[in-house]
Amino acid sequence: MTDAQLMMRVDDDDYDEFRDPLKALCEGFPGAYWRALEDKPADQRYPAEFVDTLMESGFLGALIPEEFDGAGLSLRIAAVILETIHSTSCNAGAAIGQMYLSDILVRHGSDAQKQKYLPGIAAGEVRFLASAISEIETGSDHAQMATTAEKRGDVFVVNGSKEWANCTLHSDLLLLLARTSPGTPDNPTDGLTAFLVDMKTALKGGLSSQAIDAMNNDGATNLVFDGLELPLDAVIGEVGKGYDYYRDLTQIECILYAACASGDSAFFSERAVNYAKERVVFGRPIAYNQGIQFPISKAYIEVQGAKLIGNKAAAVYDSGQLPGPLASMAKHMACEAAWLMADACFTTHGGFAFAREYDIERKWRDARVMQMTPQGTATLLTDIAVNDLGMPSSF
Amino acid sequence: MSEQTVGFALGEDYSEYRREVAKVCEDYPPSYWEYLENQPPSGSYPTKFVEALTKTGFLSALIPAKYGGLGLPVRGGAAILETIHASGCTAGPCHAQMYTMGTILRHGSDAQKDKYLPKIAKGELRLQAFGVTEPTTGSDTTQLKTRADKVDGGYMLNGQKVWISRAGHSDLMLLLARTTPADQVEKRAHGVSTFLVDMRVAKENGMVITPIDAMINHNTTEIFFDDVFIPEDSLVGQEGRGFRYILDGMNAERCLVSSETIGNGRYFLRESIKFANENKRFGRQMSATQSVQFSIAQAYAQLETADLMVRKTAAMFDAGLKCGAEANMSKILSGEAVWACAQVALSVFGESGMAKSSSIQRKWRESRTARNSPISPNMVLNFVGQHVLGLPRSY
Repeated sequence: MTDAQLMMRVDDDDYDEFRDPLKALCEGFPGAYWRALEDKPADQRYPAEFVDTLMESGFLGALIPEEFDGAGLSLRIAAVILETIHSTSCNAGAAIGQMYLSDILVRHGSDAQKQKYLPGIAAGEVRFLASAISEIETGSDHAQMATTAEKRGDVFVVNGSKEWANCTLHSDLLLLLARTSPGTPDNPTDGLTAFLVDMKTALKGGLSSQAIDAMNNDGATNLVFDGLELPLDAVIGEVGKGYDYYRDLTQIECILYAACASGDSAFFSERAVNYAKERVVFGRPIAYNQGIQFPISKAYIEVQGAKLIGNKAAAVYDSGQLPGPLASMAKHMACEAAWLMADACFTTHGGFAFAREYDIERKWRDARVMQMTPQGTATLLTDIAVNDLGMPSSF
Repeated sequence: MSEQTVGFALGEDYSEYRREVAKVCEDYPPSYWEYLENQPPSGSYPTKFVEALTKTGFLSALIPAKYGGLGLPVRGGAAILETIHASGCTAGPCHAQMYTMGTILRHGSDAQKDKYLPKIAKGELRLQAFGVTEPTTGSDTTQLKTRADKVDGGYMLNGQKVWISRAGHSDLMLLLARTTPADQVEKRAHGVSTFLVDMRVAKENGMVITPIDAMINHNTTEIFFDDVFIPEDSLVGQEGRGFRYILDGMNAERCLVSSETIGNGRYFLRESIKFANENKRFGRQMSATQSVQFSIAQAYAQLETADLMVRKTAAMFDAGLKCGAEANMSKILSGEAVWACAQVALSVFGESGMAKSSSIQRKWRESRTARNSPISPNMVLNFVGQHVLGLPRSY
């Protein structure tokens, strides 16, 4: 139950002081920039210049507390930043990790880890963009993951593989979940430990990363751990409790991805409205046709609703509580609404939606993928059903 | 007041009122409503329920204290109506007593306010009927054909209204009628006036009310005016400006009926989750089946989203901000959400939900109606397309 005293503002086009400079920044990376990247081989598509620019801008350090040289801003503002990026031709996928993965260090890291890494991450000098959780054999059934980290003397030795780990080739740090002891019947995710992996060292021996050629450009890779040795101080928090930390992290993740989806919706909405007013068929702009206008209006309404639930989740987080299934709800509703708007925009553009130069098809692919990652529809609905509505797990 | 300073509560608001309302509703179980549905339309009014509510003073929630009401903002009324519906009861037969007076309050003369509001607040006078819709013009409200022709000492009414709920159980009616022919006004909405008609007198002067037997028990009627004289002081505000007066009342109405819809959604979800958790099929709880569980979680996410839009609308209305878009969006979002809840409830309950003794089928019928009334969803999409997105008028 949400705190009865918690309030939310009725306007949601707030924080222009963040939106305006970010829009200007993103204008430097128009559709042509992103299309050119997609023409390249899978391992050369990373939007390095865009990410460099974002790192230098300081926006990605929004959530890191001021005591570690971050901006110490609210999650609401972090969401505004991502929403703005996605409302343009840009996609924050290659940089979004920098904004929230370090939260696991803020909450659970040792003082030494915090001092060593957080100021660099806040400044954009140390890149923490990657996490390795899912595995090919077990997918979302994380409790069954097969990657192990075995303690031998003063090191943990990691063996196994991870799939769909984004940005591993462009990150200094990687958040890894690996099994250090068997789970218990009551808590099968017990015994999973969170590690902070120094990628430069790891890629020299014990870890290999292979780019995946995929329909969207998120820098996805498959990882193989072959006897990678990690120092004992690579452990984040307590050994065996990593999954709980990861679950907390996914709540922030969901709220931030919901913001990305809302930004995509704004992109599609603007494009659809403009094109519908300009395009003349049968002697008048197609916007006069309810077959064109109604799907845009309907999707717009869904988007406005989704933004409210996203803002609510952020407001709960910013009041000092973890929002739990509310975060799942925010991501689910935002991604559903974005997909509806993407499709309305696609239909409005007709054949031109397929033409790459319009960027509709690229953003449309991104919107579809975002429904499934990083937390997919079934995972989100299950979280809501089990942890909010009191139904049993269906699997 | 600017949007930046207006906020709304995210948790359970008006808890004390909610508790009191729920207590009153306990005395009116599903069998009470089933009994009423089995009566002919003329005898199906929930007189006892309405009397009990009137005694609590909740129906005068929105009337200022100086006229004897509770003086609550629209959000307070919304919380009351939501609770009535979440309890399994329906406020449809009496909710208009709460908000129809708003037009008098905002646009009536001091004499009208002093004469009517205290008695409406006490429940001595029933202002439950809102005469707008006509059989040949439907949503094309400004083209209505009922005439109010100026005569000595007043106006002469001629014409017909349809789908006027509760007219047989109301002493007063707010009526929209044309005072200047449509071809003699500059704007479509001009030349239409609002009247407060004393139906007790009008019935003696040629006004005939005929009940309509309908799918849901809203005590709705057709009304025929054949040279019905009403005195001059029946006019509300300025002659010819009546359309504008009812528009802002409509925003309050949309907000309030949307909150009833939210209440129905909560009823469906509570009953569905209970039933699905308690009943086993194929050797396990029904709620462990994804088709059941995911549908419930999806409907719940939609309902929570719609609830925020309703809260936002109320906050804006109460602060005197323009809220036409939000009121309309509330209607669509709550209508879609409750329908998702209603459909899953009927599926979960199966045949047992279809029995006349079950409130599931009754509320399912109510919910379908709520998606069409009091405004067509197509008119909402038109509004958003035209006035929010800047698309051309399509009709």
